[in-house]
Amino acid sequence: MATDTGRPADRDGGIVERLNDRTFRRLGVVGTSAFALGVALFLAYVLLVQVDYGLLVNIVYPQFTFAFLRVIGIVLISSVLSVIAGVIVGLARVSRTRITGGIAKGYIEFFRGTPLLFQLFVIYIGVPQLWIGQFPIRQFNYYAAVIGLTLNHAAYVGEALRGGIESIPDGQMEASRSLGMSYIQSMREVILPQAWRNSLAAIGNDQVILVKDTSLLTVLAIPELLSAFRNINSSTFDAWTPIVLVAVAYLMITIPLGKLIRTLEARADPAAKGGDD
Amino acid sequence: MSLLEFEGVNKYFSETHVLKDIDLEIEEGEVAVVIGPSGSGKSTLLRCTNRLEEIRSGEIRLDGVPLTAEDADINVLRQRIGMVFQSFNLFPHKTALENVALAPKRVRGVPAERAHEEARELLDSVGLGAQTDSYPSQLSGGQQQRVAIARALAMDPEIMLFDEVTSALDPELVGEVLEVMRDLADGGMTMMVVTHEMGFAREVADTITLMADGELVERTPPGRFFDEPTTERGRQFLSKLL
Repeated sequence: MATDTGRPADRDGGIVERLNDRTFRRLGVVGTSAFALGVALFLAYVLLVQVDYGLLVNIVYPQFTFAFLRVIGIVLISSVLSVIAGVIVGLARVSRTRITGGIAKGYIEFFRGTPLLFQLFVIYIGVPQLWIGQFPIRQFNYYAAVIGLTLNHAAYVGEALRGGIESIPDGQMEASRSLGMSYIQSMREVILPQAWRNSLAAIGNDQVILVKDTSLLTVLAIPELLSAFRNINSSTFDAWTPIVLVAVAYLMITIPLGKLIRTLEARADPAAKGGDD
Repeated sequence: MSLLEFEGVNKYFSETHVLKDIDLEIEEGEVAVVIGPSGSGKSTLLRCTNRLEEIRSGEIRLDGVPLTAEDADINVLRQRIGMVFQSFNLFPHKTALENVALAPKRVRGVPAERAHEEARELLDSVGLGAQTDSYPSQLSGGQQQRVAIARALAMDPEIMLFDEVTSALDPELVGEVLEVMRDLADGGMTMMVVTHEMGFAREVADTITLMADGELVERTPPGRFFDEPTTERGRQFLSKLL
């Protein structure tokens, strides 16, 4: 005799089969809410119990403010230089001239394939060793920091731009060249503006990482945010007061930077802009 | 001397022999329609004409100037040859007007104001006077292709190359593009047209050139070609169309 219960045959399936979309969504809400509640409780505990506000006022200025401004300065210079250098690397990478493309590939392999910390040591410790006699540059650690961050991130920017350039159909270059425009003119007027738009998210991502990479500069004896943390921590044994300051300081750079990148992306969208030249 | 001359042109894609000893002369004012089955080399022949593809041997001359020569100034020669592509290839980040005005401004150094004025006139002449500020994504395929024709004409070329320019269009949009080409032909433009539009070939062409397997098979006036092709392969090609 048939014992058909009217239920689907996959009733006995695994958890994924049994989960319907509505339950899944509810589970998500419950899970994330529980997580947020935990974080809120933890933050309340840290901010109300752990943070020493007397100490906080003392170290915000001058120590943290100067560390913060120093990081911003280094980021601004390295960021601009790494994007400029990255465009050059990207253009070299897509070159049909074998030697240019090969050199760019080697450059990218090295700077993406070895740790930034190691590259900083090579520049900061290795380069002065090559000098006979006194190394002429004072405060070389700052130069080393900017050079290291620039060379490293130029590799990432270059690779991102290569992806952007290669995503443009060949017909764009052909149409541009068929009008008598040179390779350089075609790159500048036709290919790069489109490739730039396609690579912007990846380049922006890399620039956010550049901000965070400044934490490595602590090994070059540059008083940046992590150095400030270690300084305060070793002299006061307070951990959470400087931890909160470091977190706030980094987010004060990276969140506006993210916003700037999204603004640039929106502006690069041709349909959103007027008919200006 | 003919305006465009091909002499013993050979082209290979790695080992595949795609153009075999092509000899062809196109006179000033001639509308030369090139037809043939796909893979016969007709698009390649067109692309070699402004060196988007390089030939292995032979010579292509524009008004007596060998444009396949090693030391030919290709950027200057290309200004004299307009090209329109199957997939339009408009610059998507520029408006119709900017698409047309770009090369005159950058290559010829025409002041922006005059370049835009001339671009407006050209767009008007292809029936797009109202779409000058539209981006390519806002235009239909037929409109895009007409912008592409205006863009090529902006450099004031001596000859126009059309590479299957209606093949990517919806059937109802083919007519407006062919209309523009017909006007150009009536105006005396020298044109080399690769197409599958046999109606256009029959009505507008001065000569029909049939290619097959990389060879130039037949070259006759259209009336003669369509009524009594002189070669066996011409007859075969026509029989497949019907």
